Amino acid sequence: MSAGGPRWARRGVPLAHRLIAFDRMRFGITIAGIGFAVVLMLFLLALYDGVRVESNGYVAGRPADAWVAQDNTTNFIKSSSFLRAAIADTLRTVPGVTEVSPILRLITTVDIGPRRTTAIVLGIDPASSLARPEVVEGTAQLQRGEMILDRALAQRHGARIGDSLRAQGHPFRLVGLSRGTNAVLTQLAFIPIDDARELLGFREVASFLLVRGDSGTARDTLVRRLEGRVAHTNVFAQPVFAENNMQELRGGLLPILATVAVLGGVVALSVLTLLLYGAILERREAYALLKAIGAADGYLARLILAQSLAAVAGGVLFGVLAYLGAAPITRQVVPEMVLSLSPWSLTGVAAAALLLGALGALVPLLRVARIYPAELFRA
Amino acid sequence: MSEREMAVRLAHVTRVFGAVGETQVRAVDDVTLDLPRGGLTLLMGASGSGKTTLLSLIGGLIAPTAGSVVVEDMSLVGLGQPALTALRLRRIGIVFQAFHLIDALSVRENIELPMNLAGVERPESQARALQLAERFGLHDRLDFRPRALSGGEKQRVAIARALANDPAVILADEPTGSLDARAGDAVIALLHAEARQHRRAVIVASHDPRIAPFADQVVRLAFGRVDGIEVPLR
Repeated sequence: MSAGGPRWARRGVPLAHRLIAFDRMRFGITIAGIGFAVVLMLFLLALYDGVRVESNGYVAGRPADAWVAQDNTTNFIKSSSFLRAAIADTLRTVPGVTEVSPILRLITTVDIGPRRTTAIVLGIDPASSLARPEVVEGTAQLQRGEMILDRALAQRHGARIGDSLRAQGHPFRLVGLSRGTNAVLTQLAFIPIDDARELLGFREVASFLLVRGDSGTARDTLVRRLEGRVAHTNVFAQPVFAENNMQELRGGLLPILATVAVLGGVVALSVLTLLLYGAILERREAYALLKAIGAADGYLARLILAQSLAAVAGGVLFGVLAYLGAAPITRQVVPEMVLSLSPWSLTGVAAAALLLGALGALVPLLRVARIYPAELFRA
Repeated sequence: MSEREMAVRLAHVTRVFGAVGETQVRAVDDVTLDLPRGGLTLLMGASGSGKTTLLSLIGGLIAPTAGSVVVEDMSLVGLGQPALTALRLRRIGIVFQAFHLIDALSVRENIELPMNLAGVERPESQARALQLAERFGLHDRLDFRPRALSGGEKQRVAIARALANDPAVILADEPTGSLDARAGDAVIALLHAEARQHRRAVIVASHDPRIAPFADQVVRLAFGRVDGIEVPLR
């Protein structure tokens, strides 16, 4: 720092700030417009992050080494898979295998009080920890006639531990609430596999088999041993199956989220451009004057860019605060909406907003270029 | 007057607006003029006589269709916009009828602005703004916004702004046009004093005959041409 104070304070009249502060209403509207677009983008990214963490949580969180599915089945969320239950016995004989646990997947109606919803009901082996979900309330130990329900689904319908439910018309008692089991469009419920087979009407059937190997057998080795042991099956290492599932979720959601995010960006850009453009038209004489008294093109460009970026910075701040305020309320009102905003997503939105700020200054800059200082003599 | 004292030299300057045909207007037509330093030149004429166009040509705000414009020994013909902008910033001050102060800035900041554009940093620009404000009786208005000033005060701020970078040439377009007689007289007296005391070429375009007694030469324009040059008797 040299004599006379810091460099930023010595540069000159802070014209951009003065112009912004002079019309606070316009600036407030600009910030709100950009802010709401930022909120929209944050919600979409938080939804995407939430899906990644929550909706794939069950598959990604299995303490298994491998998944076995029907041939041509590649994922859990968007596929059908039917296996003979006896295959589990065959796989138990493979060297290195310590545990095989079947899952029977049904998509069926669940009645919670007077309300009916559709859920993915998984029949699991109560004695095995491989298929057991992470329970946040109640117990993970299922007995016949008992059910564990995704916590968001339970919250949505006001279900509590001990409540009576019906799945496909059969009575169950709610004994646990799980997490990592919300796939946004549908949620998971868990019942003993024998109950699931009764609901299905076929006794010797499973959808997937979870396999755990011993500590001395490498996962890849185990998968190679399982492959080809039983005809018409697909064997996946646990991380591969989890990634396949994630890709299905991404493939279904990303195009929608990206489209809406782009629309949000376009709205923000339009608001910013329109309001800056309007401000320049309203202050046409001021810009003509600046040109007349010798303001260089670079100064005018910086002046407009500074206003644009200030509006964007305000909009991002407004948007982040609004998101932080609205997200908990949204979780209460729409429990199935899984929101989890990562720092990367937040940084991404801020970077995109800065880009919007630069783009938003372009059209106003072109307008300023067409203002002629000689027109001041006519006033 | 010797050639060295000329701040502005116009030689056979013509400016045509519009396309060829009935809509074409020769706003300035073959004007040759020498405008001296240290004097106030009044460009007089009816509306449409070419006064304002002549000011715009001298200020480099528009280019001549023909002829040459030289300001402070620099020919404006062929200069690009950046050079013309720099010339206006450092060597030409402009005063408008409608003042054109920036309402978002205080009086002090309005005066400082041209200095900051020229690279003068704030403590220095603030000090110079204070000096100018004191010279024009505005020292107690420095923190006011323009909307809080009277018309005469606004024009004095505009003159102070025009003088901020100590220009050799002041262009004033109808500087008394928005003022009452008393304020108008005060403004013209200030411009005249600037011309005499600081050796500037002050060029005023006006149809206000009250200004004539303050002028060192009166250039009468009609239909874009010089209709006569008078030196008022004092």
